[in-house]
Amino acid sequence: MAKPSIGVYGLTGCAGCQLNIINCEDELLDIAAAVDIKSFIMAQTGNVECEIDIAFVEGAVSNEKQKKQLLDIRERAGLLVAIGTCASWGGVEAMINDVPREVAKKDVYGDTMKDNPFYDCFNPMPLKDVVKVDFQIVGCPIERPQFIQAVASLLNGNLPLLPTYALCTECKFKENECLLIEQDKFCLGPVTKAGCGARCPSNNIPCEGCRGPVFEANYASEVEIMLEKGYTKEYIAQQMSTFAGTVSAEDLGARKLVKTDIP
Amino acid sequence: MANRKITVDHLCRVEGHGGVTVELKDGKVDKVQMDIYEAMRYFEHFLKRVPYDQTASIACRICAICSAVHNIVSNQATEDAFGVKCSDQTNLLRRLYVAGGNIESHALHVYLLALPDLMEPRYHSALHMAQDLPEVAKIALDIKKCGNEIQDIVGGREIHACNTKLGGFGRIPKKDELKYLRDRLEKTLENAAATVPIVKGLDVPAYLKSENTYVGLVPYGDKFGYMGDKIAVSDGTVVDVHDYLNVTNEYVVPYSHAKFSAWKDKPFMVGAIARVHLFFDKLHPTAKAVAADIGYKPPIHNSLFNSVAQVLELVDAIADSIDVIDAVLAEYDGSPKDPVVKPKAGKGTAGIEAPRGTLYHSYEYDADGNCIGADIITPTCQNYGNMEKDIREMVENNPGFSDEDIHFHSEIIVRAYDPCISCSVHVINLDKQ
Repeated sequence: MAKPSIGVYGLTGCAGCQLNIINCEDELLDIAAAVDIKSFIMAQTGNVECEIDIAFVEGAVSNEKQKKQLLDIRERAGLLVAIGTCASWGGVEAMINDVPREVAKKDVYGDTMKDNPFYDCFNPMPLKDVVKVDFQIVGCPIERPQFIQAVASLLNGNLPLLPTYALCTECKFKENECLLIEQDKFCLGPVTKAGCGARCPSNNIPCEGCRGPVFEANYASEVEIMLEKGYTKEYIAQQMSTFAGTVSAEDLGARKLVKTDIP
Repeated sequence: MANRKITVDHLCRVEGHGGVTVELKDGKVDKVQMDIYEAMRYFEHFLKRVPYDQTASIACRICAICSAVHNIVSNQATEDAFGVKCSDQTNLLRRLYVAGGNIESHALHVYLLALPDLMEPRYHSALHMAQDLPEVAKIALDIKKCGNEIQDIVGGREIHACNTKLGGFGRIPKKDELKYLRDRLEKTLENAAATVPIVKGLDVPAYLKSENTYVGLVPYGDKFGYMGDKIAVSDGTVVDVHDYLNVTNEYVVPYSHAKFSAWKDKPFMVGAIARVHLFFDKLHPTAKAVAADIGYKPPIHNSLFNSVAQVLELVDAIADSIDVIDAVLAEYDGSPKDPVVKPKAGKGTAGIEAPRGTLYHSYEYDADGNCIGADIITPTCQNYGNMEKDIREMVENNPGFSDEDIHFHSEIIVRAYDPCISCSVHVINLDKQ
């Protein structure tokens, strides 16, 4: 049987999720032997854009060229896997989606690039807003063991099973003191998807929500606790906008229940 | 003679999205341009919204490969604004963390990204190379892993640290963890030494002959290093880091989403080759011994030797990290009292040497500690002008080159700079005139 063919692609982001694939130092050579890497521009030359079994796509979609590229990848790929929080939720670049890009452009490049189509772009969006996404591996960046687990499952014809519970569960397993309840720190653990082993709280640093919302996150309760602890609505909204798309202070309630059909 | 146009649509084995266009008219080079089409992310707006204690955590997302230095220099710029002084232990642990990033990044670039070009036969990637030379690939990956282990243990994560904060660290690594890293570094030093014969035998093209202007931060103290508050230019000029704009002199070009830089209207180069040129005498004795073995002696103006300079820095960073761990263990404090961080209105600036060159972060805060302005200048932006200079020279010095040759060597030149295109297009400018 021919080896499954894969492609690894990067849209708007920091390339950290692709780098964490290369960071699988102990497994990389085995992975490379088990699959046929048709395209991985960050890691190799001689790339071929053909039909592939699995596409791993990092980053948010933020211009027409990327939109076209993503549609093309979808067309050619059996399964399309979003890797990382940018591809799954928009990531940090979606933090300012309430500001028209024209304003941001003028602020950064001045008026010189006003009519230059090369500088055209739109608000960054997750892949699922453009194409059907079969699976998401979240994280900023993705956790290496989860990527390896996902590849192993996919090679065996299964969709991977990754945590669907909140970060607090992992934090409790580690017997960390609760930063939110005990220390009044602004911790997003209760509404964030687990899978990192509660990295930040284990270092006495509150969870910043970089893995995006957990399924059916109870935002209402999180907001209520934060208001009780004296944080302002604006501050809460800003914190919740960091990785999973812009939310305004007035719209905090709209984040009450986050649902997604993508595993 | 016919007019020719050679386009590299998508540079491979580099971080980010960019290309190169070369145009020849009547056999002469008419135009060389770096086409940087990485999508814009507008970090200035994010940063202008965030409170001071989050600037670093968000700024480091500009780039994965340089995440460690973005994180540390961002914290240092904010500390500069608020007048925060860190403990010796914090400074040592930051040095160790930055070295971890450097070991990972240099190992990745030298062995996995650049080496396949310079080997005989040439390979499409390190993974292809691994089929013929599995031992080399394994050693390279193990060196890289050591850098990641340092970043994981000290910084809390291999990419995008979650243990760093203003004034120090969330958690001080345990003594056992530091001893483990020390053992790993000893082994990694042996591994790095084992790669020296390969580096010695590399087939580095010799067509780049013009003199480069080099820029780098003067390291604190007597040792080679990546932190300092003075900028040195190879013409002898020294500039305080707060006046970094006098060195970088940025300008915008229509074909690139990244800004370009110039020193006295001419391109300059930052990165390993620049640092080794400027501060060769400060290198760790172990690195100097490797330099003597390879026959590397500045001044070297062939930019393609940047990858070789990175090998010297790799050895220096490994050897120095062992010394740093010994210094931390000698006066270990597991639960230090970090300085109080109190926001105040004002500006702060810091520079750091990223694996690929000098990186500056500068912020302005209001009295409550909200960021109201940010300026970040990355090494790759500073290098674009010099890359264009080198590609032009490559074409001019090789009149017999076919289109394929020009395509191939353009890629080799750009890759030698170890560019980080995501970084270069973060773009922040914050002067609120």
